[in-house]
Amino acid sequence: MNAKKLVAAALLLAACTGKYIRPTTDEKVEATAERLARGEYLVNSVGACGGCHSGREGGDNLHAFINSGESTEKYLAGGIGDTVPEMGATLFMPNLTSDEETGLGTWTDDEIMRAIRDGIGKDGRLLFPMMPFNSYQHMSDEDVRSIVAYLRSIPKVKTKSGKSEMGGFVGFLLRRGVAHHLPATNVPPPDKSNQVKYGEYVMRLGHCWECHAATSDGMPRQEDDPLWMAGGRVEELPGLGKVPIRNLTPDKETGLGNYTAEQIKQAMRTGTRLDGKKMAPPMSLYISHWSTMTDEDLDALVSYLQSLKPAKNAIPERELSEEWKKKLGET
Amino acid sequence: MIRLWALTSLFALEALAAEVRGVVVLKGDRPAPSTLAVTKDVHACGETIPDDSLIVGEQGGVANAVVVVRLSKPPPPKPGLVAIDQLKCRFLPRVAAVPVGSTIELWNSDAVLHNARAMQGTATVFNYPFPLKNLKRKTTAKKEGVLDVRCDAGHTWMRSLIHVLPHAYFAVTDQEGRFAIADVPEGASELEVRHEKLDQPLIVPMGGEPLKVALPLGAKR
Repeated sequence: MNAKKLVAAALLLAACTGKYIRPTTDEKVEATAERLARGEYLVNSVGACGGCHSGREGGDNLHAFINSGESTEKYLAGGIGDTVPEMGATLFMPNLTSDEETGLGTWTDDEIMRAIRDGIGKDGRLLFPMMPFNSYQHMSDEDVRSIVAYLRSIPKVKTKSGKSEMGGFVGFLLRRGVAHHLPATNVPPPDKSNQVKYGEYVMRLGHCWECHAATSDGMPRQEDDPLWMAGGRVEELPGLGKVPIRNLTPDKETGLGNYTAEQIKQAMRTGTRLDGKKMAPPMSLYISHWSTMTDEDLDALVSYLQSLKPAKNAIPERELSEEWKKKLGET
Repeated sequence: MIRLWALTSLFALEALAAEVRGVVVLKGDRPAPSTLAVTKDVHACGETIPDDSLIVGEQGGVANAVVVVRLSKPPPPKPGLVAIDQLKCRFLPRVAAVPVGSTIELWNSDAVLHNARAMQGTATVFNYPFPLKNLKRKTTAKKEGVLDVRCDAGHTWMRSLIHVLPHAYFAVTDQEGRFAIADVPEGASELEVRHEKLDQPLIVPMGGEPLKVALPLGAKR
């Protein structure tokens, strides 16, 4: 896209953010036992929400975010914030507990549901797309209700308030909704009779595509892109080194084509790559959640991955810092 | 498989009515207690943790050996309960034994996320995240065998072994290697002794005078 087109797109977008923001209702989600159990599973296993939203035992900056385990005393309480000069961004992980001052205590149930699926804040602000609302737009009405029921049940923790922001032209576009979508409403439950389709649902709720279908400059590919789920983006987090995102398509040379479903599933269960190495961030930040998915969900996810069109996209080997090589037992 | 050392175990078995008592001891030098380096979450776990894969008491007793009465037709067991805590980035106890059908209760006393994954052979039996302190989860030990429980939240040293047994005639040795099994059915004549450092269980005849048994240990990880 050239500069003229970008400016035109920006002007167009500036006029139409309202279409992404639906009015909220006064719906109160009933916390049934089924919803609490389902919500707990979605939050702690499939969505891996704590991977971002739980405070860290080792501090509240990006270094601690990557290097420390999730604090059980700051469970889903956010409070981690840092500037990322390379991105021109400030990142902040919000508090999902019901603390009135720093969390969701004053939010209505529907405001939370709108934030999850549409990426809209209580005040109508467009949320930063580090929150995978583009994945969660596919979440069924019942599943999003279950998540709200569960979030309402967890202990309140007071942390800090803050928000993620990005400067520059990209930030301008984000504030105009370039990463947003039309409101998700009346989303039916997934059809479990079709394992591949259900696996796609699990993939969306596990937000796998947000990394594995991103371009090298971090832009999302869509399903009709020949390199959908073929990796390529390189993560460079503080102190980590370079970690390219892997190709999950069944290509035999550059993807998962030489591995059985059981091997892929075991990699997810154990956090161990198919070449025997331990997974590194960003995957390892979430794998302790994803590894706890049910057999049904993991089998469906693997079926979906194996149903994809093989895409040839050679991914270079990671270049870890000495610190991380040591952590992962490679020295 | 690395063979660390060969040792001899001494079983002092005393038949007291239907109770079997004894002690599992290490013959030879007592290894110095060792520690493992913590590679993640030192705030919660500490810089090092004790290597509890082989604990030998001051008198040479071997802790965490599982002693099981061998029975061809055991009576149906009464299900029990075993509680496993995650404390200072260790599963406690390291070794437990329960009759099949028993409840396994797990919880997290740490300030850091753990996840408990139990494998029985190649099958995952349970796999729970523990994102909240004091969160408890319960499951049932449905199948005989050994549940090898690990934490996949980066705490690679954490391990617990839960022996799921067909009956209730067993004991886990204490810190001095002692064990006692009550109400052993008539006709029982052998004990099976298990330890995570043993390649194969050791079969020991019951009764009579204290028994000396050569016990080669391998290093199973």
